[in-house]
Amino acid sequence: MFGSLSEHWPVVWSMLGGVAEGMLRHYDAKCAARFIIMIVEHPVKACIKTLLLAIVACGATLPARADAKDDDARDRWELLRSTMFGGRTVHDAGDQLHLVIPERALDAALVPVTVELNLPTRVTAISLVVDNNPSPLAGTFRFGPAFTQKFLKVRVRVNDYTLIHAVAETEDGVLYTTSRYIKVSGGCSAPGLGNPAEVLARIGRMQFRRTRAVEGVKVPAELMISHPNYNGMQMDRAKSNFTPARYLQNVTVTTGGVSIFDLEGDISMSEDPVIGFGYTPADDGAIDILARDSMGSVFSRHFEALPQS
Amino acid sequence: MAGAPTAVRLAEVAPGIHIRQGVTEDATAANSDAIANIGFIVGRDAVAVVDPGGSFDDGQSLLLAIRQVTELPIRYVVQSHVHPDHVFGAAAFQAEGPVFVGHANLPQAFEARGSYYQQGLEKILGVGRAGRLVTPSLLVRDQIEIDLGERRLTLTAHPTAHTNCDLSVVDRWTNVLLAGDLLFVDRAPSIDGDLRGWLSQLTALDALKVRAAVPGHGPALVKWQDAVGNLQRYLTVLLNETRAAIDRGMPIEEAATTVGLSERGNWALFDDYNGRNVIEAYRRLEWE
Repeated sequence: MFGSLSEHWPVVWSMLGGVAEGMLRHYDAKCAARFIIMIVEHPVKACIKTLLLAIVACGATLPARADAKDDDARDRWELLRSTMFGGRTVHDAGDQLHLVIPERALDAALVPVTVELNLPTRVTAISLVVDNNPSPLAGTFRFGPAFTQKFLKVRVRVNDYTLIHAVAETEDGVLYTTSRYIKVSGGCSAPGLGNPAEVLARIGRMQFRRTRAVEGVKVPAELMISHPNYNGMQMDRAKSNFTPARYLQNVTVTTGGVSIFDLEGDISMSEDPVIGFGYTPADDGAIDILARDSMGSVFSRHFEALPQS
Repeated sequence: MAGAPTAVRLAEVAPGIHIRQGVTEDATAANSDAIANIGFIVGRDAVAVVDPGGSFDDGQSLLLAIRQVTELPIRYVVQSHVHPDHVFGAAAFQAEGPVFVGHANLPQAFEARGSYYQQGLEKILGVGRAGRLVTPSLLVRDQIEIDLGERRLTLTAHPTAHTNCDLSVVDRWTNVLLAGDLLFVDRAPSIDGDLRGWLSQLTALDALKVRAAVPGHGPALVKWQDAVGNLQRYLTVLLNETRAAIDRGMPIEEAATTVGLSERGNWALFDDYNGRNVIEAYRRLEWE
């Protein structure tokens, strides 16, 4: 099969390149173990196996290649940053902004993300960016005076191994960012199997959950909106065509007429979006939600004030 | 690794029912995605394949194994649900000219997931080895019977359970249930449909009073009572603990790492599937 090594050098080399690149892109212990088993079981001469194993071992630990991966991620972010924020400087947030995400996505279609805010100046907006998604900007939240400057929780889709960035803008116009890397088991998020008729029947339903244990005047809350957030990549068999993208584009949440936040969303938000946040009740503390999707449908709900405890 | 497909060893678990047990692993290039239990049933006149396998190689190995047992025509290829480890071998049977059978929701599920699965499998096995999906032409909405010649099979299309397109087969002669992934044994179940629906379909299957079943994963043949009891217990733990987590206001990310852990010792690959199952359960139950 392998006459002389030099004759087949290009083949060996391309295999190695593929293996090393794969390992570095998706490097983890399990993955590496599979590559090694694959090589050991491959019907080639023992000397070539030894060579392959040796080079794979080197490849996995080669800092030069690891840097290449980091370079790719940095280039990607640099491109996104300049597209979204132009020439503005984006400062490293240090410990003033935290992203809490799992190290590995359990379900790529629903990755819970928590942003913890600890900035000395009031934050007016937060953007969430899933760098390697086809549509990286998952959403931008613009905060009103009733938003508690503590945390924000959302659920996003993650299509591949990627950095996730949170970018906060403060009221003095300064941008801060923090990021975390996430691995995705088994590739990108599987399209839902839901029956389109059932999905449309419940579109726009809402729930608003408030914790009754009110800390001071700040109420932790969770807004749930039933919406498929179709990303335009699902096939509709009945029409033998792709289901057009249909996602929540704008969600406005107010308490007693005072803004809590205004969200500009996109297809990287999970199906049936759930948003966690805290707010300071204004007036009688009633809540109004106004949502609009990309096909122009409008959904609104009014939630009465919590009874006094 | 890859070479010419060879006939795999099958067990004749009941007269005329031959099953190839899948390995308890996720798909790899080395295992050719032969991870599900697949097999065939031989009647007087014809053969029915029940799940064509997880890749083209896997399907071809099954075809070779069939031809070591019988020369009868393969009249039906039954596809138990949308998951790739059960159906990507279908193309290996096309030259035999069988009728491909599936749940009425299966064509839509293939449309929704097909290219996504194809890409994923090609990444693991390589482009030529993945195989491809074959859309069923005989669709089951409720229940149908097919006849292999003095051997009738009852095919039941289930409401959403493990997936939204689960089809089970009962061989009327031996009263053996080929459950597809409605029954997992030893390997951690995965939920891609509806947890409550799955539990109610297990109750419905229980009413059939079959003694033995071929699970989608696990041994080639099991006693129905023991096997269904274990699965019901796991799904019930998941249901109760996820509901309790939602009631207590526990966030989904915390539920994913705490719910169901008492079941950890009972299932292979538990850590690969339980957290995902909790998320799947949580996102539906929170709307209850």
